[in-house]
Amino acid sequence: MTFEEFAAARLPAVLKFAAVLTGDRGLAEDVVQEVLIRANARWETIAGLDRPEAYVHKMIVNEYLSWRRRSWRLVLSGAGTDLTGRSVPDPAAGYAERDAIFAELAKLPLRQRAVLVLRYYEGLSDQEIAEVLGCRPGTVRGYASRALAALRVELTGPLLVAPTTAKEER
Amino acid sequence: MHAGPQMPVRTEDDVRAALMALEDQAPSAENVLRTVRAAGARRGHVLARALRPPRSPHWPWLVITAATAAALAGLTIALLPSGAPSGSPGTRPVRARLVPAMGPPPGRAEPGLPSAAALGKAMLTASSAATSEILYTTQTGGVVRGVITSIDQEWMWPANPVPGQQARWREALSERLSRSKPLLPAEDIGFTYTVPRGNPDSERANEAYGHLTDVCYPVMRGCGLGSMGETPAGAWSQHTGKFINPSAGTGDLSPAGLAKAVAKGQWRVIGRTRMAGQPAIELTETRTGIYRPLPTTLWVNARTHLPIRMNNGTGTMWAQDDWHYLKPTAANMAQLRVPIPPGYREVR
Repeated sequence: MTFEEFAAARLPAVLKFAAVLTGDRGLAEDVVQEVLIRANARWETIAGLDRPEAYVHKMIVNEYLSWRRRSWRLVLSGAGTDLTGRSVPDPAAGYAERDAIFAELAKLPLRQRAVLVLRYYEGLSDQEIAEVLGCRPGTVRGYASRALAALRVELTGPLLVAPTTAKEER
Repeated sequence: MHAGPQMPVRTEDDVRAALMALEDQAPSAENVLRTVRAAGARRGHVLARALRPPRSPHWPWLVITAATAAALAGLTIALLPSGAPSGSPGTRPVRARLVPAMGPPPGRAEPGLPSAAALGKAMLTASSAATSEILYTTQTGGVVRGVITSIDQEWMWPANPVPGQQARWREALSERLSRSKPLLPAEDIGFTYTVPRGNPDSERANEAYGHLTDVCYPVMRGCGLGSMGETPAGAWSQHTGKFINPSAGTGDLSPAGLAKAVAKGQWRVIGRTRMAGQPAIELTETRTGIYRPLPTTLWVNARTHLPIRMNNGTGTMWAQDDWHYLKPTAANMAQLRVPIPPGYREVR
């Protein structure tokens, strides 16, 4: 399989994966571009692997985790990150909840977010995630546990929000 | 799995569905492929962009205690002469020539060298003690056959802010669009914020309220940080609100972050040398390092245990980071302010 053949067949899926991983169209584009430029340069080696797409995904995760630009992001003071550019919250409860999860996902440390994406979007096992991230399965479970706890705590009401945080948010 | 007194209101399926919905953010395949193909035609320059190591988290990793400060009373911190940085993006000369490493081959440490764990601990203590200085860093983003493609200057004051303290950060980025074009200012960002309280390793420690100023130069098509929207070229904007630092918890190039990585075994001590006129301990990445497979070398001041320089890349393409601690003089503090170029309009 040539690089062009790979791109024609798999690029849309790769781009979706990057979009889910980053949660940001611009960042996803930047990350995939950087990765594919490097992958293209040594495609013969990558094409010889059992699963070239998995390797490219691993490159994307590593690129995302080491992305140095855009280190600060503004989060709206209300529901959180507005991924669609709307300035008014969507009145539909389902969309509002979805936006709330987006916002909470955006606040997670990168590795925790990556673990969630690899587990729930890619469907990888903890062992497979550990191989992608270069850590132990136990560490993966720790990331996942903290990420899930953070997502749930955020919506379970003010009783679970640390007093200092509540104060800071005013 | 989290188990609290309250029932979780979300399920794993909710998370799964939300992630699936993010597929809508997928960028255009056409745009990506066009860039990748163009990069193939001018491979060297674009590849250099990939050499850029990450930089960003300027969050406190620990709170310095009085005891720690007392123990470090004799610590000597290398200070540059006041006013060393010009503050004009793109005009700063790069002191980029590397001193060849004098150490033994990788894997064999010289006798008397500190272990990585001990060095990491000393580095963390040293970085924590830098409570009043300005941390000034330069990142030469890519050097291709002797041509610098980008320079990123950052100022952080205090160098190691503690929770509750007001901190100021500025990043001035310069880019060169092609070998024949000059290195020009691209984006200048200033951020004043209060360092959040609480456990520095918690998710909430990644959030801060502050005021951000963003100047976008014509080299860029547009500037901005995430959802606050784009600042067009030739304009500037300011924003007040809650910001998050998504890089926290990952490998980073703050002195404290490097110290942690060294202590965790991501770096191996390989020898002693001199770097930028300073006695240095030289380290190279281990298998768990985050820059592999790029060869990456770090030099740490042997006396102060503060980082001096990191270089990664090979042959004709490499990137370099330098760390300096500046006295908080009026001239140096002025570098933390983002200058608004005459004629630039403010956008909201």
